[in-house]
Amino acid sequence: MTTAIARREPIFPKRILLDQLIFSIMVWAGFAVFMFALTFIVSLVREIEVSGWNIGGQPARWFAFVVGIYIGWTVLQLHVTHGGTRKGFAIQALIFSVAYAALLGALFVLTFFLEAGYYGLMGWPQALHQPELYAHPLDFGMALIQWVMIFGVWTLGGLLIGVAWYRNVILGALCIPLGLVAVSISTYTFSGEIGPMNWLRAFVPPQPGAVPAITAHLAIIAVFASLTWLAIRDIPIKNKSEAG
Amino acid sequence: MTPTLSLDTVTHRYGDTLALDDVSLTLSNPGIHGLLGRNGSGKTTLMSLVAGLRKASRGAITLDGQPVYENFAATSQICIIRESGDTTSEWTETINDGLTLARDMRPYWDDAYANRLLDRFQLSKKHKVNALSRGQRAKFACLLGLAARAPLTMFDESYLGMDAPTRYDFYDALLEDFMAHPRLILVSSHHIEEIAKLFEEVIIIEDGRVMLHESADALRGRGLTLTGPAAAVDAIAAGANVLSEKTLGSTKMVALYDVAPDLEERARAAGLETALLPIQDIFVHLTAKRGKD
Amino acid sequence: MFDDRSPIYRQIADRIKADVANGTLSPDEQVMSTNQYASFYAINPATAAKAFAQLVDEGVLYKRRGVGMFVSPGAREALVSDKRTKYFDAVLGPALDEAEAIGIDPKDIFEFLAARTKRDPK
Repeated sequence: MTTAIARREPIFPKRILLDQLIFSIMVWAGFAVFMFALTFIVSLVREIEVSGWNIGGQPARWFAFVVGIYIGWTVLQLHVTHGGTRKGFAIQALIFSVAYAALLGALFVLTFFLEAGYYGLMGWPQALHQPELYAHPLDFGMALIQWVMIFGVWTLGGLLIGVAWYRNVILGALCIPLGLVAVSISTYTFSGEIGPMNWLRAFVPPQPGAVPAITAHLAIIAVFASLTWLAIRDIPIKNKSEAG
Repeated sequence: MTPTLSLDTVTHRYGDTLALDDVSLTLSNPGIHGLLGRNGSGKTTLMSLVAGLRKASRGAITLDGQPVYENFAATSQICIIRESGDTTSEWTETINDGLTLARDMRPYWDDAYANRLLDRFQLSKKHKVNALSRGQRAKFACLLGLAARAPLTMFDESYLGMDAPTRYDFYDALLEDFMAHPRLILVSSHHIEEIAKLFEEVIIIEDGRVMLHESADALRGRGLTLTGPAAAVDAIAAGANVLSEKTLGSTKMVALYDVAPDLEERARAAGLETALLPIQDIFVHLTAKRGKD
Repeated sequence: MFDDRSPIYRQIADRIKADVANGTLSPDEQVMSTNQYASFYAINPATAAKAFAQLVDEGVLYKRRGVGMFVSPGAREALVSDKRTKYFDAVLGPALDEAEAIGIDPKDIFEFLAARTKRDPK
């Protein structure tokens, strides 16, 4: 074995991204077609007045969340058992989350444009059913900012819960209320709705809007990323059978 | 190519449980070395610490002088295959996905060899990992360990669940590949009698401590059984370290350990049958005094 | 393949010596490599190497750097003469002890010897 061997850990998460890229595009295409078909079925019983994708597409964030858990729970173990370091994984996972949020955000907003063509053919108005950062589905810039931030928070939230849960069940459970708080703040900064956690109003700016939204999401992402690193830093990779 | 693995006063605790107790150990000769110990003796903990999967509570572990924990220069040279097969994911992965990951992560990965092993172990790239039987999963895990060609490779009970013919197939593959690519290979196993002939050095750990570390050939020469008339056996064995004894009528058999160099000759002169004690028996005798786990 | 009477490396060495003594391996013939021995017997190559080192020490084999191990030209004679000197003590002596123990008449042994010599005058 005389060949020089690279002694530096790759920091760009090429493989994880590629795996998720293909899988996510397939799921997105299926989901978008399903939503368009569903809108058509709904149109048979009632008038279509708002963007169906803006309603039905909301749960897409749960998909990002599950992918985050998968990265934190499974990819972490695989990375370290194959000779990688926790630090190398943490950097890759962070880069992945940002890149993945950008991909999902772009796909989400792209769907509004596909929907616009579809609605144009059918003669339906593509209005919003609730206040968003964007005034109209085709407000590309604002829509993209909002959805990249949503997917970023949800992917990182999944990552945090995945690693925390892997480290310790109690730690994982403790992350759930934290996630709920983060999600409430996130939603508030777009819509002004805070949901059941009304006490949070004391901690958020009086009005939703682009600046509070970006500030809040960067803060949430910073908190999630820091906690994820604290959980990963010296995480023991357990033996599945826990023997010996 | 063979690195030097060194453990210096390594102690590890899980909460209140002491798993490794002040272990110092150096391995630097290329070879297939056996790490033997009963369940719960600390084998898996030792290997997991060496691979950087856990951080030792105390002490230093280095590979060629480099600390292993969170150090890619060292961990990329180390491959551990644990019994549970945690180098493969069970979510949705196929064998091909597992190979792709190993190819990306393992600096010495040999793809052509991995493909030959797939044929040999009768595995298909299309198989889903979660649909494999326990034995197939063990074969795949061992394949990953062999084809990674890591300078320090550890198999921790990796072939549990394989049937006997498959285990022998694995031993053959292990020996062949070791001879083609000499490196440091550490194997822990409960099938000692099957694999002991491959061992160059043997380390026995007991209650988290290294009880013994020496060459397998020397260890084989250390234990002796004498069989013959009870009186003659007793006369020769007097004062020796007796591990066990059995009698059948007037015939007696004793297992001795660490005998004087001339004892074997004296025993033969006295007409007794002598035999070397296999490593498996030495291991059993040395660790038997402890009760259940 | 191996018994438990002595270390494996010694058994390998004994086997090679026997092959040299009975002419299966001729002088200056190359013997199999340690790796070939190791895979054939499924043993650690270091154990096989130990057997070879012992045989080189005893002058049964010699090493040609980068080529391998060969049978020393005088090895067969040396081994055979060694066996000859040890024959009475190691083989015939115990056989006669056994004969005595089970009460065989020495006359029968002489007769047996005479018959064998007649059959095979060499």
